[in-house]
Amino acid sequence: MRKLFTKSDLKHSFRLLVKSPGFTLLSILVLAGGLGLSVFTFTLSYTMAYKTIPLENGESIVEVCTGSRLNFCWPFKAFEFAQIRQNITSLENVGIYANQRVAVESDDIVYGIVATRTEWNMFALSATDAAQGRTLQSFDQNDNAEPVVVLGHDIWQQQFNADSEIVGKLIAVESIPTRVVGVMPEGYRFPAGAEVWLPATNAQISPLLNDLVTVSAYGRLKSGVSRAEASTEVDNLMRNIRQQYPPLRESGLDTYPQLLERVNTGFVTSLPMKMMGGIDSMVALAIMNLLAGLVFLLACINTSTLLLARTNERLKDTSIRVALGAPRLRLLLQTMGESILIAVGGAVIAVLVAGVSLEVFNIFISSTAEGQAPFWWNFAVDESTLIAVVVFSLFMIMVTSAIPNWRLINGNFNSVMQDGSRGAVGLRSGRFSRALVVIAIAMITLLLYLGTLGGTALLSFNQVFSVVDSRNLHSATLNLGAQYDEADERLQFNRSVLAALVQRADVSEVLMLGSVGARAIEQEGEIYAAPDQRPTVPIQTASGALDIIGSTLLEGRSLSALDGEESERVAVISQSLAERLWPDESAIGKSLRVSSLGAAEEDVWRRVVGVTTDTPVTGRDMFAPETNMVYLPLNQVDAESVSVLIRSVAEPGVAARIITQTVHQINSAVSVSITDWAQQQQANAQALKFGMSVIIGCGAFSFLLAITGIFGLAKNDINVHARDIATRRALGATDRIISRTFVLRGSRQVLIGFVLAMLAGLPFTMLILQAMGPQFLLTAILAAVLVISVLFSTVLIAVYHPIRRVLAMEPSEALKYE
Amino acid sequence: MTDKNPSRTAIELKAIAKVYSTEALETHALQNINLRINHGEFIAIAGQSGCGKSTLLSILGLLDTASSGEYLLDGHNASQLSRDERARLRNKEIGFIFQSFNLISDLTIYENVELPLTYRTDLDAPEIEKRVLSALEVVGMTTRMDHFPSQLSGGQQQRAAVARAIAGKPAILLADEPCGNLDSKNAEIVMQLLEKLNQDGATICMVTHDPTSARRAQRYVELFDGQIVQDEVLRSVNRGRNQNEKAVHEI
Repeated sequence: MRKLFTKSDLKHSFRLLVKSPGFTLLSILVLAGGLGLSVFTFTLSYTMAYKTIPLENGESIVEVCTGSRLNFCWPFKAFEFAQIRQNITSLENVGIYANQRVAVESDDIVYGIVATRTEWNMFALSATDAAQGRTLQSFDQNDNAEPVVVLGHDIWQQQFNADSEIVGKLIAVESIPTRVVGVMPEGYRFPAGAEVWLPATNAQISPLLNDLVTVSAYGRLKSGVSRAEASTEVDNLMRNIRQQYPPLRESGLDTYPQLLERVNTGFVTSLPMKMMGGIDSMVALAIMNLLAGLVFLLACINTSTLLLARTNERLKDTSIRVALGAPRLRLLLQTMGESILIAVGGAVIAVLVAGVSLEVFNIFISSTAEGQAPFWWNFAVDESTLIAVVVFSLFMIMVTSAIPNWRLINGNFNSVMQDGSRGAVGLRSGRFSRALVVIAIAMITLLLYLGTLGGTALLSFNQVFSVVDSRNLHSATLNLGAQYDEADERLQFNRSVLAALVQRADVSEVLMLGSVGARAIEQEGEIYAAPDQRPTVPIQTASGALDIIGSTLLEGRSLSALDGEESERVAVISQSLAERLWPDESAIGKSLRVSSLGAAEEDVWRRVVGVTTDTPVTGRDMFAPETNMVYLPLNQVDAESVSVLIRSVAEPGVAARIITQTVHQINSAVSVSITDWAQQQQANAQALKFGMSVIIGCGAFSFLLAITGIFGLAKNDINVHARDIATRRALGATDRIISRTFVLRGSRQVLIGFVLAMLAGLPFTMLILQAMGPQFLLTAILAAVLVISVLFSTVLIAVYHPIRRVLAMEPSEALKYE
Repeated sequence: MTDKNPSRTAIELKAIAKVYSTEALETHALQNINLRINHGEFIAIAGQSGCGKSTLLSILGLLDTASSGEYLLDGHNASQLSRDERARLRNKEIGFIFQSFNLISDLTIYENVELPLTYRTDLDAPEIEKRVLSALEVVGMTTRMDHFPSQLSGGQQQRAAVARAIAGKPAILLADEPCGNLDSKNAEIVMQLLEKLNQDGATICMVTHDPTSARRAQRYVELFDGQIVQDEVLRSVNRGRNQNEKAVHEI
């Protein structure tokens, strides 16, 4: 049996590569870059969404969710899950948990820390014991049990200086003396980014029917039960519960527990999939992989073009091999030799590049997420990565070599042998080459365009956040719980907190904001044909200067504590809304009415007393400033969710304590979730910097690919057509005509590629426009103009050099050129 | 180039030499070539491989320049012309027929024939179309004008190349081994086509190493080691360029 690929074939291929070190190096680097990026994004996505969590029997640990797989894993209303868990048969070790930020005090400094309130069996589920002391036990959940906490390794190290005597000590958690009963091992943050663990509350484990408490749930698939089977069971149980206990009220309000009332399905999913969120995150991951795939494909096409040019050069050699009786398969492998060696070289470098990039990403995550990233987010080259590298490399060899070579091997070699003309191969090869050029240009355009859009979007994101002065700025969300289920009580509590904070000497600015939701508004004097013609805008209650969130007062005054319950009904509106409702005149003194605020406020006209700039950070959209906004006095309108923002003159840690102490002095049972804005801003800035670096890196690599690709393609195109050029010259074409012909040909390909790219990029453009607002359209147009200008310039430069070289030959010499 | 009298000289070479120099050696491809080609002549340039036939044809066709000597085209010195001037002369006054056809594979036969006419500024679109169709008819390729070269046989490709060469009504047709890549049947068709064109007034200069083809010319020039060793008139010439143009035009 004849060997298909001999050692001498390999040596021959190696020798050919060594003979052209520039080509070899460029090809390997281009492929390594493309493959490295794809491997990096693949590993990232796989680890985030699909990899089994690194725990004993990790594949069987599941999150129990309400909602649907396509949307989001919603938590359950605690009462409903309490009913469901009694009937679950497909899962064992079922329990509930809820993450919240709690104030933990150490050395007189209060830290906002992610705590998981959970049942004791969670530690059994994750099969992990405490490194010191013990984990939570069933008796910790008793009503009269002593408050206890289990610390995470990082918190113990950083906030308690790795105190070896910590177990048994009392620390303040939410201002309540709490005994440390254990410290978990390093890296343990189950179920996701927990920093400390507290026993679940009675309201979470044994809730009452109409409690608004929500809980997440975990469990383990019983032996032999699949996720699909467990999902079906949970789904059925959820539907039954809804039939048994229908929601008590139906309303159009957008508050979170009421949103849950609209969901009556359930399923189980892996923890990574739960963390990924709904379809949006998966689409984002898919887009990221698609872009990386495009870069990879582009790298393959670039290398393929370079190899194709070399194969064309050696067409006569190949013809001789055919004449000597080489079987086609062997010939194919011989012509693929170079490609295989380049792919292997590229793959080795790609794995190294991906490994280093993943390590850098790990460092970035640990510095920005401050230990709150899911514990399975340890990105590294592993078995799945290596399998991906092999698959990608095979694909690479197919694209860069097998397909083009197979076409060439099936060409008419007799004519090549006879006179060196390209014969039957010429037309097909020419079309193939032109199609490659157009595809490559389309992909380059798409990458450059999306890179420009993405980069600009990130910059806008930064601009939005930089409007806010985050120095010494802290915000706290107040979770009033079931004890404040009457609007009057909530209003009273909010007033008390606000008054207490305003009086403090160590607080320089206070703003209290409450989210009411979107409501229809009416303009005084305006007649609406139907109620649905009234504009719907987000409503917030506020007391204090809105400057603190970046909304500067343009006209009139702010809302304050003086706008009391018995005072005149007033409102402050955003600039865009003012211009929309009262164009060309001042909105101050005009009146509007807000619907669905409760019976007492329903028909009240409110006088506009202030106009602010559009709100940059409280909008529903992350990037776009909220253009339409109505602020109502906090003392006049009830809001179910309230947050307080303070700027303190004290140290950051003390500032957090100011809020918790103030709130707890009024009611110690209210839970406070604190955010340090400076820290948040720093994390945002770091994330932005990283994102920009990635985009700039990818953009630079894409641009490098674009340059090498277009140069390679132009060179190949002109080389392939060197005899045609000579023929044209023999027929009387001047140098200018020849140059113009090739520039026009390149431009035509750029235009076709550009149109294809714009069509392919349309969904992405729509997505970005949706996120950034219609004002981003100009940016998109400018990005498109920039990209096509860059491409045209590149084509001009790329055509110039090889055409000059060909034109430097006398036509008689060029006619003999092969 | 207004006098189309057959006795008038179309091209005259005076003491033409061509030297190729490398670092190691100097090759004298042509030495002291003196040659006068009259309008309406059909000259065969023959000789062994490497004797300088193709180099001579390249110089005659302004595809290359001589190292020394004088080149007169219709009495005008063409030795010192710029690249663009030479290109314009090639386009208008010279028609090429290559051994390997040199049709452009991306273009159809019609587009290939049309190509040299598109470089001219003195022809409008209807005139170009008329000339292309006429030329294709002369060679019997009108039915194949929408085909690509790769879809045709060698003989058909060479006939298309002849059509391209005559479409511009040039003063002289230069053919480099026009039958070199053809079988005997197709070679005969092409030779008959050249003879017909010559009978109708075309001036043809053909390089060949095939004695049979060479004997079908009116004049036989033989090269050896870059020098003319024989220049023999086989038959008399009595046609001029006006008849050449007329012949093509009539067809």
